[in-house]
Amino acid sequence: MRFFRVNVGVIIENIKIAVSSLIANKTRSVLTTLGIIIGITTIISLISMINGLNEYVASLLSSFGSNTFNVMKIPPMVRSGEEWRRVQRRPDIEIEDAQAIEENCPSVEFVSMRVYTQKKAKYEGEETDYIFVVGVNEAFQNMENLLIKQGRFISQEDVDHSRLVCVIGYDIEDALFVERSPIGERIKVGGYPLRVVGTIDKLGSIFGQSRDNIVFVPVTTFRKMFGWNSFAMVIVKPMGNGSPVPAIDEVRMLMRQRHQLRADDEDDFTIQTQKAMLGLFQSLTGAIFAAMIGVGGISLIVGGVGIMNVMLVSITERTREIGIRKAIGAKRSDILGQFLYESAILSVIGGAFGVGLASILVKVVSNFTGLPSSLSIWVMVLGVGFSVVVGLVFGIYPANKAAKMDPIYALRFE
Amino acid sequence: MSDHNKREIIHLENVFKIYNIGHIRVEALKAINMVVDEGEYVAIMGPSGSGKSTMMNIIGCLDRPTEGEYYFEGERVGGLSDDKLAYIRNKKVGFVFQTFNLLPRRNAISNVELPLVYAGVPAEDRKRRAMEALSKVDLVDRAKHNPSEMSGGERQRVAIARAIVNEPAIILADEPTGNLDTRTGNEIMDVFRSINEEGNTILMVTHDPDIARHARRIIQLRDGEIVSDKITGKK
Repeated sequence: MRFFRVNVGVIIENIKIAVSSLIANKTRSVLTTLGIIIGITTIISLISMINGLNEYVASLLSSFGSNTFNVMKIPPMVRSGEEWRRVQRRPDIEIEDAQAIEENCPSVEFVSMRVYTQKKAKYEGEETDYIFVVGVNEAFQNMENLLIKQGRFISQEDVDHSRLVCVIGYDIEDALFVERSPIGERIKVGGYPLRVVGTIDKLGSIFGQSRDNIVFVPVTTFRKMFGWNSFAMVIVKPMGNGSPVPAIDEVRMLMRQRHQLRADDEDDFTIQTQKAMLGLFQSLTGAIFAAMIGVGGISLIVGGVGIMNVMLVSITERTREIGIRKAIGAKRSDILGQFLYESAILSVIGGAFGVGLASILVKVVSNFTGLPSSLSIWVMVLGVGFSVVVGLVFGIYPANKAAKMDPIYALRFE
Repeated sequence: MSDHNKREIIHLENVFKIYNIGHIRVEALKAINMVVDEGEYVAIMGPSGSGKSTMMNIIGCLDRPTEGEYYFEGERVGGLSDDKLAYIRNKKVGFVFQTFNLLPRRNAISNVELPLVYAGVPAEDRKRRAMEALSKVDLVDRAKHNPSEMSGGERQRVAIARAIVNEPAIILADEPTGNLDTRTGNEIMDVFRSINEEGNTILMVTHDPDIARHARRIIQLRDGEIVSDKITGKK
């Protein structure tokens, strides 16, 4: 019975030995834990950042309504130059396409249009840098959940009559209108005078890029002023919250008809669902994630090998001590425990530093990009736990070597 | 065994220790028969290479005989597990080495406590018993000092305190005065005599006849064999 009892005295003794030997070799200990620190920092900060990114993207998607889809000329991912040249020859997506979808597809609730370019905006001698000028219709506001701060959004009449009006984002308002309300004022965008009819609440920034340096104009006005381009797209919201498939089928048939495709021709447009966008995004973050976890994993292995190395050195240095301990009655398991504690404590210190560094890094990155960070307690626990595992796995070989040592040899060791 | 009026601690029966070094066969111990009873004070003498240390290692359960039987307090040692041997070393044997073998970064009391740690004795008891052991070697006032702050004689007294702290059945001393000057060596011998008078059994290895004289029984080893076994003093 007594051989199976947990000996608390030995555990405390082992922790004392471990801590005092780590303190006695401070520089060596710090250098050894470096690999663990880097590995844990990489893994923890990546998990947190990608969690934050995924949460952010999920919140964006749900605000659009999860079953909306886009009809576009250029697919979001073009894999070759040949494909690029081929999609370039496709017809542009036109305003008339949006109108036709709205009129002819019974499963569609709203249709919105988006086309953009970059121009400068001017007001009374003040000029902005290049900003996004986006041609939209009246449905765009609801579909993108834009909140009006003052005035109103682009109306159907604005679109129907190609009115020279605009709705401006927070950055434009901030840059051009210091002390007066912009409503009713005329600004020049790409040389054309546009009357400001509304302003948008601040949207914030993503990846360090502001989403507020934007001017919305009626899509028809956009075409008159700046012409048309390949990146114009139609955004379709199907009826209800169910499957988008019936609406997709209707839109697809209509578009094929409008582009006069024969039965065996491929589609000359791309329909992209939210789900596909999410999938694309997740495969992208997944690939980054896998690569960085690989890097983190490698540095953990390197860190582990470092710990193993230092433990082997430490055991050689302390051969005589091991002999003494064995002579006065330490069992194999006591010696094994002594060195396992030491390597585990060493790597836990590394892991804790790593978690600390990661939380600082995540805060900095999240402040810089405006993305939410999500460093949860369980990720921290995971990080420390992971380093314990590394310490134990790489500590077992040296510790076992010490435990198996012949006490007579060890006592004679100089 | 009925002719013994004392309890038998060590009993070696036809013990051999054979090393094979390459093709050479070395018989370090040959047919050793020996009994040590409770309360005895035995010196094992012999030139270097006579097998003294090998015998000491076997008696101290650090090594096992190649042939023959070794009984510790009547129990056959040959069949015991490593953990059981560690248990005997911990509870039944107290080692005193020529080179003291104290842990350098630990003060005297925590060196003395160490066997009690492995024995699972609670912390308060450990302190009390370690202080008792230190008082027997007259070192209570040096309890908080590290070995590096002590003289050789003081270090060896700490080692003796460590050896007796678990109240072992036997104390094994391997050239305990080998690293000490004559005067300090005699002091250590005084300590051994007084702990023997308290009833502790002592087995000491030495090559120095002046030191061996302190024992009550002297066994001479040569080439792995016992060549004489004499009682020198009265019990």
